[in-house]
Amino acid sequence: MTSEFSIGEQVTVALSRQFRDGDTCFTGLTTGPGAVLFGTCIPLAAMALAQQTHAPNLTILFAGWSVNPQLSRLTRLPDLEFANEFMSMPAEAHITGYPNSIGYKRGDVTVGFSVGAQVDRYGSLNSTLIGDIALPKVRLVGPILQPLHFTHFGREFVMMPRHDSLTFVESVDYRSGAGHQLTREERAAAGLNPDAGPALVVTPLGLFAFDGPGRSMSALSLNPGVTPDQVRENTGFEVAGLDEAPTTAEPTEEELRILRTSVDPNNVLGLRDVDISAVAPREKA
Amino acid sequence: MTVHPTRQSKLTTVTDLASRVSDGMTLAVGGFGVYGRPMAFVRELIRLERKDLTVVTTTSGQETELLVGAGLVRRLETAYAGLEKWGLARRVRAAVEAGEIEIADYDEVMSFDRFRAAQDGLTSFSANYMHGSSLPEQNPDMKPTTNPLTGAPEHAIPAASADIAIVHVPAADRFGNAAMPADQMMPQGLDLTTVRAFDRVLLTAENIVDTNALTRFPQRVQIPCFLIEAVAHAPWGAHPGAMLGSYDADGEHFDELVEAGASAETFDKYLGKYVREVSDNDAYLDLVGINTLLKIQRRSFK
Repeated sequence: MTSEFSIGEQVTVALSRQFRDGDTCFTGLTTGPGAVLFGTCIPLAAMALAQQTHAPNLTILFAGWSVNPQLSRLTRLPDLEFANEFMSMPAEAHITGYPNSIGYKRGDVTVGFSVGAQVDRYGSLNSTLIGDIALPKVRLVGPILQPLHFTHFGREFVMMPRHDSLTFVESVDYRSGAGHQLTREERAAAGLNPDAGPALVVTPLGLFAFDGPGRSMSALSLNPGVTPDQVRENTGFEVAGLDEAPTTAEPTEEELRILRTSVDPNNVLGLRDVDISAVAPREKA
Repeated sequence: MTVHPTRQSKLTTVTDLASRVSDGMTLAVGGFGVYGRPMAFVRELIRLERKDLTVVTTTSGQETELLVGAGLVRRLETAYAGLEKWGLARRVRAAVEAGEIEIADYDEVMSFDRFRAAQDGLTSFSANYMHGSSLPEQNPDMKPTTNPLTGAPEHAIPAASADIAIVHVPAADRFGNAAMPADQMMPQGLDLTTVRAFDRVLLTAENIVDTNALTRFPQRVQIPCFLIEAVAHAPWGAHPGAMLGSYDADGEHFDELVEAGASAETFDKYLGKYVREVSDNDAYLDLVGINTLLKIQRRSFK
């Protein structure tokens, strides 16, 4: 008999099982309520949980500079990249300056996380603009580190706080990060890791991989209560394997205990209260 | 008896520093995110009504929002334009959408590398990770090329280039030697690259100290005098942004800035109140008020 758990905890546990022992995982600091939950809180908790279960040799690079921070000692979530509570948080190492001790282009980072305004069938991600490249209808923040995430990091985990046909589109208006339109062969020819690129998409509706035709998006699992038709209606392209997708696995008692007592005892990451089954509201553009 | 010349002081005013920038110039601006931006200098540049500037940054924050919102900028080269937790840079967004400014997109690490290349005296470097992205289409300054040694498809990326660079530092002497805090983080590391990358580098400093104060800890003086053209005293000169080790960001001021960014008219009122109708940095600090300044300073205590 498993204790009650929130959908936030369930998704966190499902994500934690996607890490491999020895992974080095790079997460930035995202802003805006939905993006913080998906881009920062869920990845952090999932990485720390993995460290305490099947992946003791996983390394967390929080905000790209704090190495294996002692998250359990956090009393407030840092909201700026070099916030004080962050600078004084115990960690194994601080990455300073640039160039620094991360070989970004040597494949040191094996898992990255990113959030965007649009994602497409082959996992290309857009954080830069909506509309025409020469004269956009909406200009967003720019490509940031996404070009590098999608080519030089081992596997990219795309975290989408919204899942609807405006954000899941046939083709993104701008590729900040290159999906599998850039083939294994093309990656190899450029001297890049052929296996790199988007590997996982986490949304309020479920977890998705890229095992469809031509490395297109496929359903890995749907969150409890989510139907294949609901995903179809909210996705601007065909997702492979929807009808066969299982329900996202439930956390075990042990995973829940570690998550609540060891990973995040103060509920700073807010996973226990969250209900992400409703599609999160769009961030202010 | 021979009369020897005396060592020349490079200490001047923020107004004099800003007046060295003329219309149409390319300006490299220090800082990262909302951290360490030379805001006192930026406000002075707006008072001087410079125009047609090209702004080059690794990432852009409130400094670019002010410069663009005040109509000084023609072109921006960066990886990011935004205000971190305060959201989009709304005047930058409006200017791009109206076609009023041109923007050249770079990957973030690439934008750091552009400054490193300039420091090394290179005019370009190659990158193998633009394939499949929209960046080369958006930014034609990246040119597709073939590596002559390996035959691999790559892109040639231009090194950062600027007529003048401006960086805000915690402490400097009148000759341009400048000290960084002991717990130096990436924003300061990027600033060090910036001061090494261009022929004309200007500093504003939180504090001007005697050279004898710096000779006691020369290992902290990572900006040596010979790199610097001129330096000016600008206390709280990064406000409303944060200065690592000195003060936190002024969140309430950011809220006001973001709200003002809703339209050209409201932003103009903001610029009137905080820039155009204010004579200099001292008067600006008067307007912000000592209580606010002390509050953001205390928030930086660890």
